Amino acid sequence: MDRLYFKDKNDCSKEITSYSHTTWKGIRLYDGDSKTEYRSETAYLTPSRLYFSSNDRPAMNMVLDLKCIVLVEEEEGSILRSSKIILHLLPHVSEQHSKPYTRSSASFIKLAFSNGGLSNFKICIQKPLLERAWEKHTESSSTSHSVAFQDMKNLIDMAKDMVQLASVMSSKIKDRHGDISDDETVKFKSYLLSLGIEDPVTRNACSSSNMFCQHLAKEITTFLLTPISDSGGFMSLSDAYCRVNRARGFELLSPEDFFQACNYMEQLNLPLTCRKFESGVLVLQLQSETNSQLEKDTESLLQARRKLTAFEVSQELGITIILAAECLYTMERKGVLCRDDTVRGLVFYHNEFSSRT
Amino acid sequence: MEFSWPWEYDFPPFFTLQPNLDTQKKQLEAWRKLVIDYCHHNKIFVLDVQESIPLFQNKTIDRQLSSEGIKRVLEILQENNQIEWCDKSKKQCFVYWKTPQEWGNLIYCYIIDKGMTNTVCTLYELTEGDDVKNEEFAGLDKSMLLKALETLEASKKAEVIMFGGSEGVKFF
Repeated sequence: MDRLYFKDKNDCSKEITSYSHTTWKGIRLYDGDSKTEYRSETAYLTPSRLYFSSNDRPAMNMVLDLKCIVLVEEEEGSILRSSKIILHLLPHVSEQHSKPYTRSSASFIKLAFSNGGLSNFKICIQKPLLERAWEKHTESSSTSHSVAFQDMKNLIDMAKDMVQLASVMSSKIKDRHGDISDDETVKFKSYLLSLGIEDPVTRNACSSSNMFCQHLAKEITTFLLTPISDSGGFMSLSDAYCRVNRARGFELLSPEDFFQACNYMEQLNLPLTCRKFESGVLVLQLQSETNSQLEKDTESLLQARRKLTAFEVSQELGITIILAAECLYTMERKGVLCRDDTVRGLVFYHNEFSSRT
Repeated sequence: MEFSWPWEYDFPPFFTLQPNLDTQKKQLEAWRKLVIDYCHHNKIFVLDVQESIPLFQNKTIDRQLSSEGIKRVLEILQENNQIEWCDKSKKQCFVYWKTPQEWGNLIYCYIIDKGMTNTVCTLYELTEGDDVKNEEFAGLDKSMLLKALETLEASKKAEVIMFGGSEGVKFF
């Protein structure tokens, strides 16, 4: 009996009027073999549900979803007991409805027809159980979904051909490098770029035909020259990238484009150049700023203080800690400095091992 | 007499194994010299690695050489044949601030001076006796002494023998 649930009569009326052509009155419900309080129900059958209504319950009907029914049986009666219909049900599943019985140990209910109509009921219930209308409903909604996505699929299929065409052209360009004029190559590469295709040709260090890279390099230099000069002649590549993009506001540069443009600067003899330290740190530095100036400054600082940390160098010389550390490491590599490495931190001294022996 | 520590001992970077290899070489050379001088001064013949930690630290400046650093220093000493491991476990080593040959020669010269050739003396007399109190080899570690005598045996200047239940040596 815990498979039955209550439902507002108004919600049920439409379905009942549309589908239910026969009613059975005077039905008594049994939970398993036990009598329930529901002695005088009127049953309505629809393609998906079995409704029970009663004058004792003016507002609510009881509902049994037909999909819960596993088997319909007839229990033969005797003189003392009437014949009954047994509905074997699927196991209990917790649902949100209010129910006459929250928990029942029996896996079946029985219907006793005190006003008759048992045989008719038995025949009538077979049809909806065979047709399984509730399954068809789900099917129809999933079909409508696949129709909706079908358009997308067609679009993707069409795009596939275009993508293939583009990659064929791209490889042709790669192979026949000399046969295509520079203008055409540039034009085609820009088409590829707008399609979002990875073109192996443009991925390499900028070839001479890449106007975009050149312009970009000049633009970056013009913009960053003053800030870099002010900050000690060095700026880490990530800082430079952020500044440039922040200034642009829109039409932001991708890291790849920015990096390629920076690598191009030396070739164009611009006042800035991209440099990689041994540790892998990338910086943009002033061409005129040779390392020796920074090292000379560090050297003077060390004379005054006997020992230095990267933090102290960055504070005094107005450069980032990364650059300060790089400078100290470079001087250590050259044998000018030696290190004192403890849990308290890394400190650099003059290399007295060399100078005092 | 108090041992005089080298200037490096008060230089904090001395206790950090230097990554710059040229600098490291100079650093390890300084350590090598320090170990030898220290053992010489304190007449340490056998060095226990664990117990040697005080040698590799300077409490005044609160610095200590890492175990990796100590390992490197001992490697350098071994390369220079200035230490010899007592066994495979590398927990103890002989320190040759004088080599066995040098010890052998020193002892032999003493024997010649005292005209003690063709006599036998116990090992104990050689190192602990009153007569040898002022000699450099006084207090020489027994294993070291035997090594020294082996070198003399090789050049037929001595022979180690057993007599009266104790070990002795005859010089020729």
